Amino acid sequence: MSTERGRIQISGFDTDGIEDQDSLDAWSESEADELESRWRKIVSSIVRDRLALGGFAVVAVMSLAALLSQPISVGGFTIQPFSIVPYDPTQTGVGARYAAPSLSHPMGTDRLGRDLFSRVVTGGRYSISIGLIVTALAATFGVIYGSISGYFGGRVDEVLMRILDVVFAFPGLVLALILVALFGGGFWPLVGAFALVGWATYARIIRGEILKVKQNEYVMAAKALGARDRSVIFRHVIPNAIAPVIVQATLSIGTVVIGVAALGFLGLGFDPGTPEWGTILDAESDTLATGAGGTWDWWATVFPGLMIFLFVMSMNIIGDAVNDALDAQVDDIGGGG
Amino acid sequence: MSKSTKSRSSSLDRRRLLQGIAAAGAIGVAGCIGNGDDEDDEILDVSAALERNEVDLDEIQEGGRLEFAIPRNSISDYDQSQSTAAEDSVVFEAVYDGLTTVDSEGEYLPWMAAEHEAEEANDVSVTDYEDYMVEMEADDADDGFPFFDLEDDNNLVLMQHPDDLPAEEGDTVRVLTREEAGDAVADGVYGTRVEGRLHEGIEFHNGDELTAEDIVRSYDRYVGSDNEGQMFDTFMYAEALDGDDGYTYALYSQEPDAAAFVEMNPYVFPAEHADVPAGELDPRDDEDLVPIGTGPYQVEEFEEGSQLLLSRNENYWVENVGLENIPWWDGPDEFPESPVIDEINIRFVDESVQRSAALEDGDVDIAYELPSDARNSFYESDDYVVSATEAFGFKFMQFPVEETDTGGAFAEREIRQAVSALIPRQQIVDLIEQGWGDPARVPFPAPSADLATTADDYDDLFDEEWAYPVEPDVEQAEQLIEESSLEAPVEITIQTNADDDERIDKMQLAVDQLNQSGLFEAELETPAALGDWTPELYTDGARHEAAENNAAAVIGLAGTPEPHGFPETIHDPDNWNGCCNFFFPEGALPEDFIDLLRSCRFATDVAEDEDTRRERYDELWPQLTDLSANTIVDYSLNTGTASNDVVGFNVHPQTQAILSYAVYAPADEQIMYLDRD
Amino acid sequence: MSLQKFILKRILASVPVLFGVSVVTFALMHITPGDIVDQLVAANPNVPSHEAARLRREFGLDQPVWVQYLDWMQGVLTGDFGEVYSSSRDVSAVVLARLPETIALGLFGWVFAILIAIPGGIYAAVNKDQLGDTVSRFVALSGISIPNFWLGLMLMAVFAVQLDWFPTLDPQTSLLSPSMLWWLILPGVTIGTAAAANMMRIMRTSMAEELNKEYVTAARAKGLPERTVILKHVLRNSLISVTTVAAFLTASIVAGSVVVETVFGWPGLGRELIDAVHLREINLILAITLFTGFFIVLANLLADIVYALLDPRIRDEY
Repeated sequence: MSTERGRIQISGFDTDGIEDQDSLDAWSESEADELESRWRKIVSSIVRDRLALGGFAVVAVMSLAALLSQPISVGGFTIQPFSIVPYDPTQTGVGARYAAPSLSHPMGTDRLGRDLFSRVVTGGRYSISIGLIVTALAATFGVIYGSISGYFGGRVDEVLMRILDVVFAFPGLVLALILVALFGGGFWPLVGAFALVGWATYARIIRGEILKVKQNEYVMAAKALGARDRSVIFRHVIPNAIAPVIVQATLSIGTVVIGVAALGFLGLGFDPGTPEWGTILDAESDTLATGAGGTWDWWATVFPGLMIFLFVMSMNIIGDAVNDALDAQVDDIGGGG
Repeated sequence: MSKSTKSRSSSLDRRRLLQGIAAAGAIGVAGCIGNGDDEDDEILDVSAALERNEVDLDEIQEGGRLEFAIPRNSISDYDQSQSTAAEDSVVFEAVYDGLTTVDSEGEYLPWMAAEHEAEEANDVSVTDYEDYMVEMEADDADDGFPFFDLEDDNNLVLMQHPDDLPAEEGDTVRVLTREEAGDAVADGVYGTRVEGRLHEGIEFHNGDELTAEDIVRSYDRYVGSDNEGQMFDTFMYAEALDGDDGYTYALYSQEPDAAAFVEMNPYVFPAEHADVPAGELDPRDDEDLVPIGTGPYQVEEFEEGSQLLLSRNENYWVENVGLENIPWWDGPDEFPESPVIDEINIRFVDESVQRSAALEDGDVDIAYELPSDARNSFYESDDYVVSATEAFGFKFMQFPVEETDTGGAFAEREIRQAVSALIPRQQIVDLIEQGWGDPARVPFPAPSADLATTADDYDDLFDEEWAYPVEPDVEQAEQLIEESSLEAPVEITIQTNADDDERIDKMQLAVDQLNQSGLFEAELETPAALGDWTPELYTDGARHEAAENNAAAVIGLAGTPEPHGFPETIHDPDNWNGCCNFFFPEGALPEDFIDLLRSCRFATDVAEDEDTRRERYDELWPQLTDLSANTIVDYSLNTGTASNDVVGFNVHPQTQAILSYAVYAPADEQIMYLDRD
Repeated sequence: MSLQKFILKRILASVPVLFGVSVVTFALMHITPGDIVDQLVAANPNVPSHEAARLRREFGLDQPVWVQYLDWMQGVLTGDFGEVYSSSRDVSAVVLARLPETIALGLFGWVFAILIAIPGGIYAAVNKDQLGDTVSRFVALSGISIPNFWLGLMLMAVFAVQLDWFPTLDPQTSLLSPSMLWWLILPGVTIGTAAAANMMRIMRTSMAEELNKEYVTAARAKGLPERTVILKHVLRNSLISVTTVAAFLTASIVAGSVVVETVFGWPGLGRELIDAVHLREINLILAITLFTGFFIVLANLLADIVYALLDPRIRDEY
């Protein structure tokens, strides 16, 4: 996929191929300290880097605005009462048809006179939450899968890696597209589709890391002392191999957001009328055609796309900062949709 | 996997909504109608587009190449016996002429046939063919429906003896195949007989003369095609009356059928293609298999997905036969006897935005299916012509009439009628179609009216008591609810497919109106995209579930000038769990209503006399709207946009005919030419 | 292990991968409700209800899934990918007809990416941490962050529709003519942007790394002109790392074609896939996914080989 940051990976050209030699030495120190200092490094590097701070601010504001845009209720019980957007994003006729941006409608209105600002702000809900959930699911599963594969090695590794190769042989977006087209769109199907596509990258990264880490003395020592496999994996191996996973996770949120929007744009994500960024773009793409002497109602397509761009860009800036801080060198092959 | 969009109607001020959109609609079209004063709440007036663009015959310029955009990225199938894509027909209607043609009013006229008429009809049913049936062993069976292995590739089973059904694999079933059909016909056992005579001197593009044999053999090409079921559901047998080289033919249907004179007409293929298996007549796979017809254009060049060039048939049969020999012709002598445009370059432009841009840039001369705002701009512009005509597309709402313990509101006729009375048909057309549509007032559209009513004028029917109201009739709805056993507000759901924005918008308006009346608590649901949703509706449990949820289903379809499809498709139990009867198996609707419906087409009296048929429909319509098992929402307009380089462009109600009609159609004295200066 | 043996082994290893791709796709198509016949008859009132059963039988869709799969597999092994149900054309004919369009688009995207990324990356690395570097980093970040469908829409709206600098229709000339090139620019740029941005970032990093190496310092100390140092030594070495990621980028371009072809109505394979998915044209979907899978496996294989050539130790991992 270009969505999975186009990260079509190859055996033999894993992170272990690119990984710096010196990281090995650095990681043989005390694990707990290392973990803590790593987070501190991330935070301090984001604070120091003004660009990253800006990115973080954008992500925070957009996420918060999306969260507070409309009340959220679960099972009839309102858990989020705020409604900060000026209009109900699905209400038609709050303005004229294709009214240009103005004070009352900062981003104009769409073909049914719905307020685009409200729609676009609320629209973040779908993309951002899917991005987070997918990343969490995919990373968790991928890390477990990759750890098993890397730790046990041999036949297990061989089989698990061939399965991984199959997943990688699909361009991620194509697989997600087929899944969503067949199983139908909507929030959870999209989460499922992108998680099914996304986990493989983590598995491959963590496996590569583990292959290195497990040669380390302390792991061998732990094993020699009779520690069980599971405890060795979770206590010692994963914490030490997790750095590139964190970087990949940060970067992949943006990728998933683009992927979700791309499917929305292809008319496969949500029902028409849903204020999701890609779906809005799909519905309003007709405005590009002006006919003879017509004017281009640019706001209908510019703003939703700009929001995706802004969010993903900010996520990527943060990802870069995290990458620098951890010196994980996940080379980010990404972009597109 | 059903997703529902909860209607926010309770918080929605409908009046404001309508005003908001209406005013906005007018902004887009300000000034187009000439009066700038009261434009604020004016809806686009499309009447200018509905008027014919006339041609001064003295001004006609010959030659030129027309650039014509179709909304597809390629021809799906060059083989017309196999093709099911409407856009393929748009092109190949210009290559293949028909035995009959249809004018802009929807009237069928003989075309390559000098005569083509239903001669007589017999009151036969499947069992009357018993004596001619042969016993065959079912090779396979699906749900009681047997399949057979036939030796001859051109043979197929036309009917099975009902006493032998359902059948399983290995069962012996009495069947009538194409081989036995001739024997039955020889003994006078057949439904309707259509007799016709071809004009003499019609030649295919390859120089062969069209004879009765070509017609008889053309049916072979439908065996095994995707259109097989459609053709052989009606058609039984064809024969050349004066020998193979003669010009007279007779076509026989299986049942007495008033639509036989049109439903049995094949695409006519030349002898050299008669043995090409269905689906293989495609020059992309075999360059020798270029479609050959008798039409005004022939296929000149083609390239997958990028090019299809048609050139004018220099030996067009109308020139040889002479317009004066076409029985209904009464036009001026100087009217051309073939189209005047030399070449038609078919452009495959899938994206509506690009069609609009290409039209604007002058890269194409004619395009259709443009984004609505772009079409409005073209309509306003002096440099373009938008032509529109009432067409056959319709949106209908089908009610699950089954009585159930929970729900079951639609089992009551009054509830169905009340919903129908409240649908804001005019607003739906005005706001969502921006005027480019027609609110439904009767259960069939204007261009199908010829055979569907005795009324002289379609518009006269609007005053009938049984006509649908175009404006919501709250008073009547209130009364209906009172007469019912239910109390307002009645909770109902309107379902439509998720992949059609406009349809959803329209139903949102309907839902808003239903709620506004206080008589209903309506909710809009969009369960899935059309192709995924309808198969769900075609399952046996669907009608029960829908009835329990008080869920009416809304989809759209397109009919033909032959009117029977409009009532039949959505009512006849034979269509249950096929398109497009979701809720009415045998017995769900009153038997006498179904009998009446069927007798409008499948009866000897209506098959033999058109006026009898019109009278029968006059009986049907009041019953149909009173029953309100379905209600029609709106009818479509066909529109096409042409640049000023094109003179005399008019659209035809049938999308398939949009190109062939525009270039040349003597039935309406339609001729189009290019003026590139 | 010799290089030949390594390559052979990798090729053999990719056979089960492609097999897996076909099994996954096939399974996906069959565990979901609805098939091509549903799509064909869904809204066609002219199809009698028993016609659906006949069509399923004709298409072989009434067979058990594993029989269908074996039939299909048997066909594939003899080069027969089945037919497109709705048009009864050979799947391979359709794929071959669409392929040149996608290749032309992808190739253009690639050339565009290289033309932007190499000079951009060099510039950024040479001016590391200066204003120029910051700006180009920002540009590259934008490139990987911009959704390609939106970029395409915007390019089309501004340059093709509003300014009318580019044609909106296929010029109907041969694929290699200049007017074709003009027509390729917008979709080509759209599809190549992400690759360009990615490559530029990698170029910058590897170049900057090289510049810090001893041999560069030595060369500089010898008094060689900076130009020579960069172009003759540094560039060559850092290009190697770009070559190795080229495979990934090729794959990302393949995937991008699905979206970009839709935006521009480009008559390629990606577009065909979307239509096929909507219609449940199983054979066509299988053929296209297999084809892209094959392409990706091949690209990865090439990358492996290049990498193995550069670093013989890798070979031993297999």
